[in-house]
Amino acid sequence: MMKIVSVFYVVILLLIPALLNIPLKNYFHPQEEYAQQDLIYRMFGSLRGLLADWAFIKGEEYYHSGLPIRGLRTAGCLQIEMSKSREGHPEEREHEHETEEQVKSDFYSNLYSQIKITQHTHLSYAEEKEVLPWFYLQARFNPHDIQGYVLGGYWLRRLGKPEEALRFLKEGEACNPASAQILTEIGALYYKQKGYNQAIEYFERARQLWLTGKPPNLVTNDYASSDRIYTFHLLGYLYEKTGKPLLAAQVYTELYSFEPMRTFLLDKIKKLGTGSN
Amino acid sequence: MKKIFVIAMGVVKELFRRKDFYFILLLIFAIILYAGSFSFGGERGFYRYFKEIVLSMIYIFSVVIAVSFASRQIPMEIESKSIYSLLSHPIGRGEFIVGKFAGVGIISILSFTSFYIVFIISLLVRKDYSTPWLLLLEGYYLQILLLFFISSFAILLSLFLTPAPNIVVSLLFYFGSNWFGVSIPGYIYFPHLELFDLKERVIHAQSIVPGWVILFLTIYAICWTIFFLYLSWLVFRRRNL
Repeated sequence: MMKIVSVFYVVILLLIPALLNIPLKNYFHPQEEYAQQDLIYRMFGSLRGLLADWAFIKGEEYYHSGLPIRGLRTAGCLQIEMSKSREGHPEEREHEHETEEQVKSDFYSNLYSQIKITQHTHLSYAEEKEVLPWFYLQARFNPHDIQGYVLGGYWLRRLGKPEEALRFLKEGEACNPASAQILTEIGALYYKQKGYNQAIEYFERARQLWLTGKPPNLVTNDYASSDRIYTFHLLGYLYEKTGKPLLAAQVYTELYSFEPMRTFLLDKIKKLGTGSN
Repeated sequence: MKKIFVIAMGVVKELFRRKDFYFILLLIFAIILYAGSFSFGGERGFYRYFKEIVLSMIYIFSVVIAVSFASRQIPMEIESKSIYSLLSHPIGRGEFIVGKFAGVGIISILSFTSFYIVFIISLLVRKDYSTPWLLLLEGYYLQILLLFFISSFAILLSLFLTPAPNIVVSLLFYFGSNWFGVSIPGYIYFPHLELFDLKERVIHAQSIVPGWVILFLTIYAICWTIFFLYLSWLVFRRRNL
C-alpha cells in the first residue's frame, strides 16, 4: 500500500504542471525565449522536430475528418482552403474539392475502407476548432516551425479570435523574427481589423524579407508561395487604397517577376505607373 | 480443462501482485486530466483531441501489458524451475501453452476493460455523445481480438527469445503493422493488425462498422491465434527442458 501511495505521490508531483497546462517559468535562465521555457519544449529534447511534423500531419488529418493525408490527394487542400477564405484576396481560387471515395475493388481495400476513414470531407464550421490543439503543439514542439504559428494564427482568426491570434503570432515573431510568413499573417490580421497603417508596416517588412530570399523565406512549397503572393497583393492593394499608386505599381512589378503567369498584373502596373488610381 | 483453468488463474494472480496495472491506471487518470484541461486561444473542450490522446494511450498500454505478461510466462517458469513440478502433475505441454495463453487473455481483457470503462466514463462526464455507442463497443471488441492475436505471437516468440527482446520485437510488430503495414512490399501476406484499430472512426465519430467485417475479423484473429499457439506447441513439445 505504501508503495502505491509513494508512486502516486511522485506521479502527481511530476504531472501537476502539465495537468494545469502551465508553461514553466525558467527562473534560472531568464534569457531563454518564451517558447523554450515551455514544459513540452523541455520534455522532448531533439525529438521535437519530428513531433512538430507529426502534429502538423494530425492537424491536416483532423481538418479532413481523420482522412490520412498520405491516402488521397489531400496535400495542399488546407493551403487552398486558406487562400479561398482570405476574403478580398484578389487571387481567390476555386477549390475543386473531391468528395467521392477512392477505394480499389480488391477485398483488402474494401475491408480497409470499412475500418479506416476513406471519405474526403472537411470539418464543419462548428467543429473547426478541433484542429487548434495540433497547431499549438506543432509550435510548442518546435518554436522555429513557422508553419505551426502561421496555421495556429490563421485558425484562431478564422474562428473569430483576432486578439488570441495576434498574441500567438507575436510569440511566433519573437521566436522567428526573420519569418516573412509570420509577418504576413500579422499584417493580414491588422488588415482585417482595418488597421491599415500597421498592416502596411508588417507587409513592408515581409516584402523586404521575401525579396532577400534567404532562409527561412525560401519558397519551396505551396504554403510559402501562397503567402508571398498574398503579401505583395495586399501590400499593393493597401498602397492603392492609401493613395500611393507608384509604390503599388512597384510592388506589383516585383510580384510579376516572381509570378510571370499573372499577366493581368501588367495592365494594373501600366495603369498605376501613369499615376491613374 | 480444469488444469488449463488452474494455470490461467496463476497468471491472473500475477496481474494483481505486480504494480504495473495500478501504475498504468493512475497514469491514464493523469492523462485524462491533462487532455481534458487543455485550452488554447480561449477555446476549451476539444472532443476529438481528448479522444485521440486518451484512446491512443489506452490502446498502447493494453498492448504493453499483454505483451509483457505473455513474453514472461514460459521463460519465467523455466528459469524458476517450477515448470518441472507443473509438468509432472501431469499436465501436457499443449495444456500448459493454452493455460498460459488463457491467463494472458484474461489479464488483457481485465486491464483493457478497466481502462475502457474509465474512458467511457470520461466521455460521459464531458457530455460527449458524438461517437455511436455501437461503434465504441466494436472498437472494444476488436481491440480484445488484437490483444489475443499479439499475446499468442509473444508466447511463440518467448520460446526463442528472453522477455526483453521479445517485448521489443512484439511491439515493433504492433507499431510497424499499424504505421507502415501498407507500405511494406508483400504486405498482403503478413498479419494485418491495423485492421483491428477503430481508433480513427471512434475519434472522428464515423458510422459503425458492418457486421460482416466484424465477423470476418473475428475468424481472422482466431485463425492467426490458433496458428501461433499451434506453432508454440510444436516447438515446445520438442524442447528439451
